[in-house]
Amino acid sequence: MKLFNSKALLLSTLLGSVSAAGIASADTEMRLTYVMADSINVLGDPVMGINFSEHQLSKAMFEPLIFDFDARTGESGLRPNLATSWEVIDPLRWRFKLREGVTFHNGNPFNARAVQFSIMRVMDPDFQTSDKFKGIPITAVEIIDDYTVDIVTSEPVPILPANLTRNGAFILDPDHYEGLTADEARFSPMGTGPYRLVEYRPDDRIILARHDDYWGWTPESNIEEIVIRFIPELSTAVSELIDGSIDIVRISPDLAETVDAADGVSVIIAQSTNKAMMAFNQSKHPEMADPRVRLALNHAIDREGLVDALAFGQHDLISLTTVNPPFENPDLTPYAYDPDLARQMLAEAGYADGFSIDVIDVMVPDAFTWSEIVAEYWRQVGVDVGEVRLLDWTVVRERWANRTLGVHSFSWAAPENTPLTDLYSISDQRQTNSTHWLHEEFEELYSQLLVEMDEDERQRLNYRMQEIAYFDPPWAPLFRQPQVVGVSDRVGGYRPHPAFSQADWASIYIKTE
Amino acid sequence: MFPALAPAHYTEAKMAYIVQRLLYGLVVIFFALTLAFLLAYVIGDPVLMYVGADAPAEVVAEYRRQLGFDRPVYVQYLEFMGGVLQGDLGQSYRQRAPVMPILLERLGYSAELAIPAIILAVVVSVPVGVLSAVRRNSLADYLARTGALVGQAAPSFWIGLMAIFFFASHLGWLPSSGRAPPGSDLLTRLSHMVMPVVILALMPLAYLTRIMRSSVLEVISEDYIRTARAKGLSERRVVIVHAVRNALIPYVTLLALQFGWILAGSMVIESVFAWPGMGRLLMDSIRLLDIPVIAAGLSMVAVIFVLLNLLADILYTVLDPRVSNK
Repeated sequence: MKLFNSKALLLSTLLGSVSAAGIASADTEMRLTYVMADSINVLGDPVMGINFSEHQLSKAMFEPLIFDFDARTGESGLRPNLATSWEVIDPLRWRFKLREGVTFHNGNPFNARAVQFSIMRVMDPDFQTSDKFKGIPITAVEIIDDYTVDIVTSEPVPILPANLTRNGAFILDPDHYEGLTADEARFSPMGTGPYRLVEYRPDDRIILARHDDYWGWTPESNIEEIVIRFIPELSTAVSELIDGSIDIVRISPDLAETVDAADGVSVIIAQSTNKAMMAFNQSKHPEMADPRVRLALNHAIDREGLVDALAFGQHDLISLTTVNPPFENPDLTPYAYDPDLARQMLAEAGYADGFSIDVIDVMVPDAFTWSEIVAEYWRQVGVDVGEVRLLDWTVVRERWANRTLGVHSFSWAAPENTPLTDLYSISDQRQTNSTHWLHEEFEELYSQLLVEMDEDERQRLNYRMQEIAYFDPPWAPLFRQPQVVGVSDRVGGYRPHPAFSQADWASIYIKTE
Repeated sequence: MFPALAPAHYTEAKMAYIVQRLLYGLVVIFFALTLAFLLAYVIGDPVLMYVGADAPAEVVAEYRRQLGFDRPVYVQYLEFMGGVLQGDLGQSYRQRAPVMPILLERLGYSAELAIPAIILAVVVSVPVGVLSAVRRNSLADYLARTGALVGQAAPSFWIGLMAIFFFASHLGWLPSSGRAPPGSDLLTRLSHMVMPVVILALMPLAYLTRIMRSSVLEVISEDYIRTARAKGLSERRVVIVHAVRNALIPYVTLLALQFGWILAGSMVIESVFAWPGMGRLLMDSIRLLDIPVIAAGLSMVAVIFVLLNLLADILYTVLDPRVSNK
C-alpha cells in the first residue's frame, strides 16, 4: 500500500510538472487558445461557410473591403478595411479606393484584380452558394486603376457597403484560387487576414500563425500563434479555461457566475444582435390568422421577467420587432405584459376559452428554456400548450425548408445590422418564410426599401414596416441574447462581434505586464 | 465419454467452425452497411445540412446533383455497395476526401485510448477477480465487489467530468482534455491519455472483475479441483494452473465483447475529453448526415466486433477443444 502511494505520488508529480510546463510555455510563446463550438468543414472558401465557427474562423484569414466593428473601442458601424473610402457615383455604380501595400499570405499583392476576381467569382451564375451575398444584383466589378474599382449593379443597392462586410465578399488571391477545384478551395485558404493557416486537424484543432506583413497590426499585437480547439462538452471547456489551458470560450449564461468567481478568468457579457423569439405558423394554426390572437400571445409574455431570469436583468435588451437598435421605431414601446388584455383579445377573436397549441418546436438548445417559460405564460391566459420539444438539427433543417414547423422558437442574427436584412426575415420574399405571414403593404414597402437610396425615405419605410409588424406580429420577439464569453485575464483587446459570426482577431493580444 | 478424434478430423472440424463463424460475420457486416445507409436516409435530407438555412431551391438542387442524391435511393445504395466491394467507401461530404484514410486515422486515435484501456481492465480484473473469489467474504472481496458495482453503475461521462474538475481544475495534475498538441514529448502525450484511458477502462474492468470472480467460484467447487488439492498440490498451484485456466474460458469471450463496448463507450468519453477519435467522428458525422462516413464507420465497428468474436471463438477452441467438435 505504501509502495503504491509513493508511486502514485511520483507519477502525479511528474505529470503535474509536465502540465504546468505546458501552460508556462504557452504564456511565453504568445499563443492564444480559442474554443469553437461548431465543427469546421470549410476553411478556404469563406462564402461556403454555414455556421458561426466557420464564419468567425474565415475572418482570421480573410478580410472584406469594409468591416462593421472595432473590438478595441467596441463600436459598431461601417469602417474602412481593405477599401479606404467609397462613394456613390450613381445609383447603379459605387466607387471604392483600395488600401495599398497589402499582401496575401503567399506574398502576392492585393489589388483591384483581386477584388474583381473575388466578387465576380461568387456572382458567376454557375457558382452555387447559399450565402445571401450571391443575391445582390452585381453585374460587374470594373477596374479603374490598380487601387480603384467600380462595383456596378443592375438595380440600386442602398446597403451595398454593409453587404460587403459579409463572408461572401471576402477577398481571395486570384493566382491561388484560379488553379483550384471547388473542393480544393474549401480547404486551401489564401487571404490577407492577420493569421494564416498552419495545420487543420478535423474535430481536434486548427493552428494559425501570425501574418507578419498584415497591414492592421497595432503596437500591442503580439500573438504569434492561435490554436482553435473543438471541445464539445462545455463543462470540459470551462474546466480548461479555469486551469489556464484555453483563453477564450463562449459559455452559457448560467455558468457566468461560476466562471467569474475563478481566479485568473473574467466573464464578458456583451450586447448582441442575436434575437430570441417565438414564431407563429399560421398555416398550421388557423386561429393565428387573426392578428388579435398573435397580439394576445405577445401581451401574455412578461419580457422583463424573462430578461431578469435569462439575460442578467438588462431590460434594454427587450426586442420591439425584428429590427435592432439603433434602427428601432422610436414611437413603439415593447409589448406590455398584460394577461387581462391578452384574455380580452382572445375573447374578441372568438377564443374566450382559449385554443390549443399542441407543440412548440424548439430549433436550437438555447431556446428551450425561454420556450418553456413562454409556454407557461400562454397557459396562464387560457391557451392549452402541449409539449415543448427540442428538435434535432437534421429535423429542423428539413421542416424549416418545407415551412412545416409548428409554433417554433429560435435565436437568430444577420451578419450585418441593417433594417433591410432584419425585415427580410419576416418577408414573404424569403423562400423559407416559416410563419406563412403575408402582409401586402409590408411586401410592397419591402420592395421599395430594397432599392431606395434616399436615407430619409429609407427611415420612413423602415419605421412604417416596423409598425405593421408590431400590430400584426408574425413573431413574438423576446430579447436580444447577451453574449457571454469566458476570457483568461492574460488576454487583452477581445470583444465579441455583435453578430458573433465575425471576429476582430487582430485586436486580441496577450498582456505582457 | 467423447470418442477420440483423429488429428485431421479435429483440424477439419475446427476449420469448418471458423469458416462458419466467418460467414456469419460477413452477413452481419452486410446488414450493418445496409442499415447504416438506410438509417441515414430516414433521419433526414443530407443536402440540407451542407447549405445555409435559407438556401434557394436551385442551390439545393445543385448540391443534390453534386452529391448524387438526384438519383433513386436504390441506385445510390447499389453504387455504394458496389464501391464497398471494390474497397471504395466513397467521399466524405464534410471533408470532401476519401472516407477510408479519414476513418483509419481516427480509428488510430481511438486505439490510443482503447488498447491501453482494455489492457488496464485485464491487468486489474484478473488478479482482483481471482483474489476476490479465493478469499470470498473477506474485506478484499467486499472492497472488490463494491468497487465493481460502482464502476459498472456510475455513468462514465459523470465520472469523466468529476475527474476533470478534481485532477485538472482543482489539483492541476493533469490536462483537462484533448489529445496532446502535435510534436509533444512522450510524457505530455501520456498525461493527456491518463484520465480518458482510466475512465474508459472502468466499466469493462468492473464487469470483467465480476465475471472472473464468479467464474473462479464456479470452477473452484468442481471435483477436479478437489482432486488437485487431494494430490497435495500447493493452493497457489491449484488456483493458478487448474482453476484460473478453466475460469478464463467465459472470461475470454466476454473480454472480446467488452473491447467492442469500449469502442462504443469511446463516443461518450471522446466527447467529454475532446478526443478526436472515431467516436467523435461518428457523432459529428451523424449530426451532419455525412452518410459515407456514418455507413463506413458503423460497418468498421461491426467488422471489429465480428473479428473480435471470431478471435474469441478461436481462443475458445484452443482453451476448450470440445467446442469445435460440438
